[in-house]
Amino acid sequence: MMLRLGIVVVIAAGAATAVVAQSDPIAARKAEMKAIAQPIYRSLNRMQREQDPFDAARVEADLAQLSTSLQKLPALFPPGSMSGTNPGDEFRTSEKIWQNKADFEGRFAKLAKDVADNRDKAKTLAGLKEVYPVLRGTCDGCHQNYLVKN
Amino acid sequence: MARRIFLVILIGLVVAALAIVWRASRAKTLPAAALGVHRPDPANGRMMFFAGGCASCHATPGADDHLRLGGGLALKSPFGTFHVPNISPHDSDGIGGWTEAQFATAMLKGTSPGGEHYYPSFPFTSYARMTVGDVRDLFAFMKTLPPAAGRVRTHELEFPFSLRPLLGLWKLMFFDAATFVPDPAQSAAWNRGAYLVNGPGHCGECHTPRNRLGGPVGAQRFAGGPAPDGEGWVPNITQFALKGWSAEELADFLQYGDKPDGSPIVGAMVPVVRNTAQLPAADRQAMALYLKSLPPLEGPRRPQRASQ
Repeated sequence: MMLRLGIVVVIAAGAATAVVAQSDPIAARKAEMKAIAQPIYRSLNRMQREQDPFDAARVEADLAQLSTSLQKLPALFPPGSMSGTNPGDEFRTSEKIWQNKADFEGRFAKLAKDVADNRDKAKTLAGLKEVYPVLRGTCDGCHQNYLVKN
Repeated sequence: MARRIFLVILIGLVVAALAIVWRASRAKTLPAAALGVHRPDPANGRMMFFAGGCASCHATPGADDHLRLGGGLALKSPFGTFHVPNISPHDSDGIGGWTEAQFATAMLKGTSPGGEHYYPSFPFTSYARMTVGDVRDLFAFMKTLPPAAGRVRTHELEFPFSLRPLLGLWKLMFFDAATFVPDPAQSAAWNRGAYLVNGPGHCGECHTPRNRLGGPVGAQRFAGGPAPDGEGWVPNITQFALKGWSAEELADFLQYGDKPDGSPIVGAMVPVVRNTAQLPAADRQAMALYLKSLPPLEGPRRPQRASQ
């Protein structure tokens, strides 16, 4: 019974995400970005700076979350989904995303490849210290080009 | 007859008052004799250079070398466009021909070697808090940077803001040229942080709202407001907005640009962090300690919805 309920909840949640992605790509991509912000900035980042103890299992989970989100993200920027200057939002998308769609999507692809290629390397603290700046460099490079402060 | 005498006296008083204001609004300088003996420390000067964020505005836009201070950046403002000058040590196009006293005068009094007022787009209003020793060390460091050729065009400002002598009145209203005074009731770290934030760091230049004349609204110091270039909003950095940040998180932010909620930084703060990242960790921690001590102040309310 509990299992069945659990399955129903998971399916409903999945369906809701799909619906949101279709009807409101802005909200969907914001949620996806937030879902990776914590693993990257808080978890991996603090571990590689040795502010938190290194935990290989946590690294694995963080990178898995990153991979999952990276599969969904490129589709969440359909034409016409530019966000406006809403004062409630810290950022908005730049129109350059749709002018340079190939470059924009290439950055997601590069990040996804870097995550996949470096999973093993990140299993030690020394490895994570090398991998982290590579991943962050791609994140930051894209933000500087395609994200505008409101 | 009595009426005529009264009128003459009145006109005389007005003229005298104008003369007094005019005299008071003249550009001030720091005489070379006031500098005294000093052995310049370029290492401290380098620190002051990064604390002061000189490269954020003066580095040639688009150049990879942030130590090439050829200028040329266009700074938009409600008063017109400022074109950031060349402050590389180039003899004729930069500050290579300046004396130490002329440099100190620019930094601490906001007056050019030619005796003109600078516009407060150059944050002498904050740099004036710096000690003369730090300013002289900064000058020594800047002399070691590569000279860049080329003079930058003059500012394009709207009348009457294009009249530099009026800046003397602006200074009378808004410029306090006092050097930073440490608070003996606070720790050395807090005082160091207060010095860096209010002096060289000039955080208040963007994070404090300005009035219609471009003067800082002292009652809302550090409470954020519209961006000086008119695009976007500068956040409140008092405890009104940063209550949820620990001092450690603030220091991390100044080193890496990482915010506790994981959202990235883009825009004008990016070059600022590139500079603060160069400071010793103790200085970033001191700045964080000081910022955490700022009482919560609510700034101007942001208009609910701007244009799409």
